[in-house]
Amino acid sequence: MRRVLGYRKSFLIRTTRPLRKPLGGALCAAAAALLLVTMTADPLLAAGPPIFGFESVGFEVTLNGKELKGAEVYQAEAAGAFLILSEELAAPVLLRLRDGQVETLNLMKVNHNSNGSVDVLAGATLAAQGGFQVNADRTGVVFMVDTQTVEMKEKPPLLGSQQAAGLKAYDPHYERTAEAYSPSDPIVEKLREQDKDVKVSVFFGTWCGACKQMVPRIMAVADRLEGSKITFDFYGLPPGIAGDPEAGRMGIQAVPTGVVFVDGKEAGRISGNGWRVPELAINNLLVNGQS
Amino acid sequence: MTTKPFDSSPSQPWIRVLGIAAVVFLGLVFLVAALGKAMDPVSFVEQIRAERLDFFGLAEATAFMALGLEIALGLALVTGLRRWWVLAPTAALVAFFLFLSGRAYWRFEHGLIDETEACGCFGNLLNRTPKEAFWQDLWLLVVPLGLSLVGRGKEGALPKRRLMLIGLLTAAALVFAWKAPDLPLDDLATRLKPGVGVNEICAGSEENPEQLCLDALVSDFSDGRHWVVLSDLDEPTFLEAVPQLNEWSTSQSETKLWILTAASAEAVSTFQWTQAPAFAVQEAPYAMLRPLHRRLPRSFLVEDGEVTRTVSDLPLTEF
Repeated sequence: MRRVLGYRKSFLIRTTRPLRKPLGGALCAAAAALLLVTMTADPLLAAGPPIFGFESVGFEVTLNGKELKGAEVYQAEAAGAFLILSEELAAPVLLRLRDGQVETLNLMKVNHNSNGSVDVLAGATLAAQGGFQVNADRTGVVFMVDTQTVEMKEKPPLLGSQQAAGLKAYDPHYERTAEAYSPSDPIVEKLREQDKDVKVSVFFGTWCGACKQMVPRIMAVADRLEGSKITFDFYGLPPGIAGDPEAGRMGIQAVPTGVVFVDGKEAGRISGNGWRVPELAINNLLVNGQS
Repeated sequence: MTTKPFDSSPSQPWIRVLGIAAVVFLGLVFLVAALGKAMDPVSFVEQIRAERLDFFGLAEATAFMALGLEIALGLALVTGLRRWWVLAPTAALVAFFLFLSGRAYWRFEHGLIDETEACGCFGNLLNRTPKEAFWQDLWLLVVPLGLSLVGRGKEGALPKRRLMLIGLLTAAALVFAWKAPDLPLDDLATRLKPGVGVNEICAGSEENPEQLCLDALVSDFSDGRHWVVLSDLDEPTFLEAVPQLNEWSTSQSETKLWILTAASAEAVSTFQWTQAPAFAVQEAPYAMLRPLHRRLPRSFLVEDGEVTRTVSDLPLTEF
């Protein structure tokens, strides 16, 4: 789904009522009011344009080095912007990456939609906080908000045995991509009907670009096979794979790799093009011994 | 009744024909291989560096000398020259090719390289595993080389005109190789061209269970319209165009823009934070992307799983 960055429209107010009094006094008053507003206005405040379609993403946020539990991070890819919501921050924080700007805004202008996305409404009062810097390991950015240091960065890799729910909680991208994949109904039915005890162990890395495309497909299959004799386990590996003892024991050399066990014995593996249609790969392994 | 003994002397016409046919065949193999490299000399230079054959750090010079030798010998063989001073360097070159493909095969068998790191003696045109490369080289080179030795007659006077022609054609071929990167030959010199399916753009051979094709990596490509840019994420022309690509990407609902890159995870991350792309950046194996381009960026349009257009740069004029 393509998200669109909206633009604030300017409003032109016209009057049609005939002016009956001389303009001099009114003009003077208006000029004085304008002067007063200009002198007292905070130069760092501005009214922002609306930004629609922020979607939840899996990042963590720290404030002065301490993790902000429960912080919500949203990204509007089309606008190149991030939005951070946390009770421990005085106000929502808006990062506009393309402008290199960090701003806070009034919470009233943050609208939560029923589909889980978030919009920043038109007319939000933006308070400039300065710029940001990419952090040392290039996993996120560091910036100041009201003299406090905030860091927003990728979460550490998800390691060890996980369930699908764990991946969805780690990064909502997995859930969205899984929802977009529709496993083949006839194959799913066939898999539901088979009576062997089957376990599929999916070795993956949250740092791996291909895994972000492929693992959600098998998560969708796992959802459809819930309650059947086929169970799924997701095993997160660290970058480099080699150092992980489980990966070493199983001879995993690339991710994602799915290992299919039938009655406790390895029946075969899903790799490469097997990830096109993972339910087909599982079925082929059960029937032919080849994915 | 007596049977006539086998006679392999030049007086037997069929033996002479066999020898000439073998030498012409060997010459054609050399020329086809040289054409693949001449159309994409940058890849050949990269390969020379990867094989550590860049003596004194002069990879470009080594590449052009090797290419010149291969073309000259190919032309000499195709014109039927079977003098010892043609066949001796030909045998040396064949031995050298076999050494390279044999070494790659040995390394593959011992788990030192993966199957995509085969000898690219035919440039980016052929997808060969180390095993395939070795056995194909053996059959395509050694057998005709052996046969080219039979039925040779006496060596006469130096064929000056033929040698002059070979020299001229070799020089012309080297000029062609020098200019090739600027010539519109991407579709000919790479595996990416209109009509190719995304399921045919793969890393690894069909026999390899770990073969990964583009449609398995990005399932979205199987349906709809997608502009795909191949990039290392650090080319100045690409970085300058990111704002335009962002603008175009956000204005589209029917066509999606993708960047396919073999850049490191760190480079991708840096790009994401500094450029804030409005388009998808997808990491893909180097072995899948390298045969698709001579230089970066290169772009192509995918419609319902098939490549329908290619652009030797960014597709800005196509937007």
